[in-house]
Amino acid sequence: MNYSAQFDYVYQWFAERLSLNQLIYFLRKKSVPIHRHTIWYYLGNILLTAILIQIVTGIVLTFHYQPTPATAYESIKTIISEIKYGWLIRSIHKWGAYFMIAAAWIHLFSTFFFKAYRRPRELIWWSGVILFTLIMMLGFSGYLLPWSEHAFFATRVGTGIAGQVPIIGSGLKIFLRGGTEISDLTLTRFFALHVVVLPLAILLLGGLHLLLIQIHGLSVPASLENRQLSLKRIPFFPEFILQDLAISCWVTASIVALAVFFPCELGKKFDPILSTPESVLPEWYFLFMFKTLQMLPAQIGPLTGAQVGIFGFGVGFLLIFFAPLLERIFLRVSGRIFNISGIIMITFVIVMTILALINYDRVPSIEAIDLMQNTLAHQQLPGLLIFLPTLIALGIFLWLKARDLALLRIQGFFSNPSEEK
Amino acid sequence: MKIKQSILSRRQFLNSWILGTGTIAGSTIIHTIFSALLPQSKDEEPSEISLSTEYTQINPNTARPFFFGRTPSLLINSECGELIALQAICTHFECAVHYDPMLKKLVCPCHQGFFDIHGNNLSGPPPRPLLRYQIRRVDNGLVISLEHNA
Repeated sequence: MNYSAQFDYVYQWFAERLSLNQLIYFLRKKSVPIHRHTIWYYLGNILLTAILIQIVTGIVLTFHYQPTPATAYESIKTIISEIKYGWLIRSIHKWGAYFMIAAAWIHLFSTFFFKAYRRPRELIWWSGVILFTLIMMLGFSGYLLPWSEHAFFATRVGTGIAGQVPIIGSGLKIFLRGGTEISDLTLTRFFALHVVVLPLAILLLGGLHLLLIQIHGLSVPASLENRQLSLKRIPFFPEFILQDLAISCWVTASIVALAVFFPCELGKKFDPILSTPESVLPEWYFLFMFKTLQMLPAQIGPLTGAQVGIFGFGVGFLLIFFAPLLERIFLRVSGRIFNISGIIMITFVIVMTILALINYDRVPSIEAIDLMQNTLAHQQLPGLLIFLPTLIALGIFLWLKARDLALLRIQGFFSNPSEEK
Repeated sequence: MKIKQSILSRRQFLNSWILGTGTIAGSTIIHTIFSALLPQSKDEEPSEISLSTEYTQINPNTARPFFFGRTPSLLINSECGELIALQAICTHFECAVHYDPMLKKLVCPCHQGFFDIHGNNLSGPPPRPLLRYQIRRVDNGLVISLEHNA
């Protein structure tokens, strides 16, 4: 390395105290198997990137947001129209949430079909499923904070659904609402959940999730397990990390581009005197639940339609959660039945979401359109149009760098970790 | 003369482009985040405010608080009937000062600072006198304005 002597001295000072050399040695030995499903390994990193974007933009929003019914809506209006880049940060927070939740769904199902929950990765699986639930709750709690019409009624319906859960339902509903109705107390609770409880839980559990992955290594899909030892592998550090970083750049660029060109709207302020507006829809990631509950008849046998629906979602969730234990029972009957149940679940979610989206004709309210003609946004656009290509280019250079290192490795400049014992 | 070999290795080329684009992208992100953290521009502090007639009728040797814009302030009626308007913020570490009718002084309880009724620092740690406003009597009360010492 051609670092200057001073730099080298400082590096060594820290390396000695942080055991950096051991860490790098460990990361160099860690390797990523290369096969036709390798692409799914990038999803964890996409999810992590989106979470980091959410943390940063969320902190900025928390500096200006006021969690009271009287000021919540107005403070968001201030963020959009008066705070420098406020409109952008808020839109990034929304699009980042969409990416985070989409990545969580895909990551959950791709690892499900990989059968990554098998021994000894049960704890990785369970922490992952809980993380998925926490991420969905993050989306749900954040939706109320603008205190708009849609936010209010979607939260009332959502907490109402929680109230239908057997045994704990009514207690859960009152706990979430901070009373029997949605009120200022609900807003305080949801704010606390959204900015303190859930992010902290996700950081801790996510840390455990990542630590366990370091211990057990990346899982190889069940279909390739018998060829596991003959698979080509690339070192995690620096090649796979560089690829991950490149993808992080592109994901960030996509989120920012969507935020710039499709800025987040802010519906009408909630007015308790008005009745439910005509099209109250949850966010897209809850649409499958919404549509199912809408399509079920009022009464099925001794149970209400809602109870049957919630029972169904519960069974699906438990099937996913207890996959490491249930699979062995299912395998005695048939090898494929477990995969098929996964395919049925994912098809159901997609079909129901599409059915709900067909009637999805939400017209932005007058106020939302006004906010989009934000003069600040127009002033800040040229800078963003320089930023986006720069970020995409950075991703390309990082990817090329990874390829460059791969070429050198193949030519024998570094020892191949797959050949190491 | 044509150079047969590139003076930059591929490694140096990629490294410098990563450093360059990374610096631009990184500094843009930091700039955006820190500008968004800045407080919104509130309305500027007023240069003068008016107080209603009830402020002119306060008892001698008492003080009454009022706000000059967002700044807590005191209107003091001295024993001889002189009205004095002062900023009620101690010049030491910005605690709120109050008027003590027994001592006939302004007291800052935080670090035992004392000011006379004209705002001059008498004892304790305060380094400067309190800011004094100008008072103008009008038909419907008082007009308090920032003093121009020019």
